Amino acid sequence: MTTLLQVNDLHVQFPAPGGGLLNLRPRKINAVNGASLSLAAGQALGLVGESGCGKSTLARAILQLTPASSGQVLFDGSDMRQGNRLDIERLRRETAMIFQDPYSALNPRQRIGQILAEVLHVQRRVPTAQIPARVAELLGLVGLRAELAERKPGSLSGGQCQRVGIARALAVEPRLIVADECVAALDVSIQGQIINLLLDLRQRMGLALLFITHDLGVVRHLCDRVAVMYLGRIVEEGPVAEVFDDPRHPYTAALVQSIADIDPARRLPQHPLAGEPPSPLQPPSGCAFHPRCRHALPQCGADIPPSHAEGGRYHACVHPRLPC
Amino acid sequence: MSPALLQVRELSVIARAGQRDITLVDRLSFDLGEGEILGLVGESGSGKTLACRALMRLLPSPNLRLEGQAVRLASNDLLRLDEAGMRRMRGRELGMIFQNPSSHLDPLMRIGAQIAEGIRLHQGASRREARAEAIEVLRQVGIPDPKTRVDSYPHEFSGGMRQRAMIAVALGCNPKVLIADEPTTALDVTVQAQILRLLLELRDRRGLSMILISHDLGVVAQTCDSIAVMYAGRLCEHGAKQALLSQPRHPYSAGLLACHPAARRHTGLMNTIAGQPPLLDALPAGCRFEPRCLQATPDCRAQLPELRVIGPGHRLACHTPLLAGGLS
Repeated sequence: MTTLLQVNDLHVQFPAPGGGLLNLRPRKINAVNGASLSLAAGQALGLVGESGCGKSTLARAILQLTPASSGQVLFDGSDMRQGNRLDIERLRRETAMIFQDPYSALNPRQRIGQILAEVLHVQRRVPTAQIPARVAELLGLVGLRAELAERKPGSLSGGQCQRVGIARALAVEPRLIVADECVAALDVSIQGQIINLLLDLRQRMGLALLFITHDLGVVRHLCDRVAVMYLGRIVEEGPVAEVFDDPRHPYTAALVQSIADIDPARRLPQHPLAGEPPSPLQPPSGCAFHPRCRHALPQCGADIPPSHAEGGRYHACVHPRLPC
Repeated sequence: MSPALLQVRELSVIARAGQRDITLVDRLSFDLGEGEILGLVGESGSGKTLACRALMRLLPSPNLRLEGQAVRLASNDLLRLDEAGMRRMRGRELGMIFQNPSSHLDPLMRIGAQIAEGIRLHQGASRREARAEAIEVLRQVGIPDPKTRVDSYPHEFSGGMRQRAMIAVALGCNPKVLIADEPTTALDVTVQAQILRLLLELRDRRGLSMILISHDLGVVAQTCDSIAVMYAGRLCEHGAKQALLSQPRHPYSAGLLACHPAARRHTGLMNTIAGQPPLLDALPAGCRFEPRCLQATPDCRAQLPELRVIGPGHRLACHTPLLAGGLS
């Protein structure tokens, strides 16, 4: 498989509030702190982590919607951070994003048909005369009736709106879709419908998918690989089944253990992970996870653990859990 | 099981919309035993939250009204109490915690004062006693260094600590029943596990009864003793956790279970329930789940199935239940 997206040591910094009246010593938040990942054409990568860990910022930096402060984003071999306007235009044509809240992602005053036609018009993908036919085709692709083109988002259900959001993403015929918590706001029975739609589209169109979520159960269904983020860093990455069944990083292990399972025989963890994710304004020294880690050694507080490669898997921990 | 502490009989919530009435919660009946945790599950709009607000007689709009036979708690019928009597019940007998602690804690009031307010009101304690009690409750909900933290404001707490503080406010009044409305939905998964564990500990230590509202069957499966499933304002199945999870009889309960992302270990297509819940102002005449149900027969379309007892502690509202031996 060819690599479609390669991210190398990406950093994203934001100015932090505070720093005094004259802002003499501006503080920075490191929202993404040296993230590296790669995604092959047609592959699905799940990006998981708790709120505030930098998942969405990383995704936005990949799509050049948020400026990164250093690092590389190679899309199809060329570095988008150094790219000129033409490169960015190509990136916009070949990537698309699906958002969490389907209602606020769609213009409430436009009809569904107009929302989709606008994308086709801007990207000049199809001749103007063929736009209505293409809109109908797109709606069909996501399992909506063509008549819905006349309706406005307010009269659709949450699941239907999310399908429109997906149809809009597909309108540019992208090679990469970034989906940011795109099923989190939906009920479980509807959630499954959207996931199945993404699975089906991926297969039929060879789409690469970067799927951001806090729900590990969904990742298991949809993704080939999973990357686990904690406070701006990717702490573990690898094939979904291997990472879930045999996590190396203690944080991944705690996440897997906290999945709310419907098996009545499985109990809540007797000693759930204590504490809460630290503030990115005052990140702990060394491994950001060490204050909550039960296996932490003195050196964990001193040095940032480097990423180890091990048979197609990566983890950043100095004393990983042993293979089961 | 011990005799029921809370008995709810035929509780309905009805909305006035122009000239017609829309029934949002339809004749809900259930018992809650002492020390029992009941999980109330269903999708958004199924009436879970509204039903529990109705128990507290705190309906969010003047267009809503309450009907019902009885809500019995501690030899009182909550539906027959006057407002002053109801006020004494809220907090002291029935506590409630919510999904979003930030919007239910007063941002301008110290955490300790918010806990002490209820203690002074309901137990007539002095300022000093109430403060000591507030520190004790904060310790019980696992706030580190409660003697200092009692003087913190909500914004100085993290999300998980705020949820603990809200639980402390409810516990301060020493209620018999705690209604927890999606208490972990806004929290990260690792913190969710901490809060659920705390609720279980409180039940064991204080013999507290709980109604835990959740859209996530996983949360309910790990904490509750019994589960009640709601669909479009009606209870469709209610039974012991083990029975309901291993052998759901209502097609909707079975569908919900099958949809859960953790239901199938392997990758691939997820199970779904086709279609979507009905609008409450255009309900089908028969079973409300009938348009989405794979088992439906003409009977289901014609007649609304009533909730009936099908086994010890197990109730079901369905004309064509799944076989007891598992999914048919």
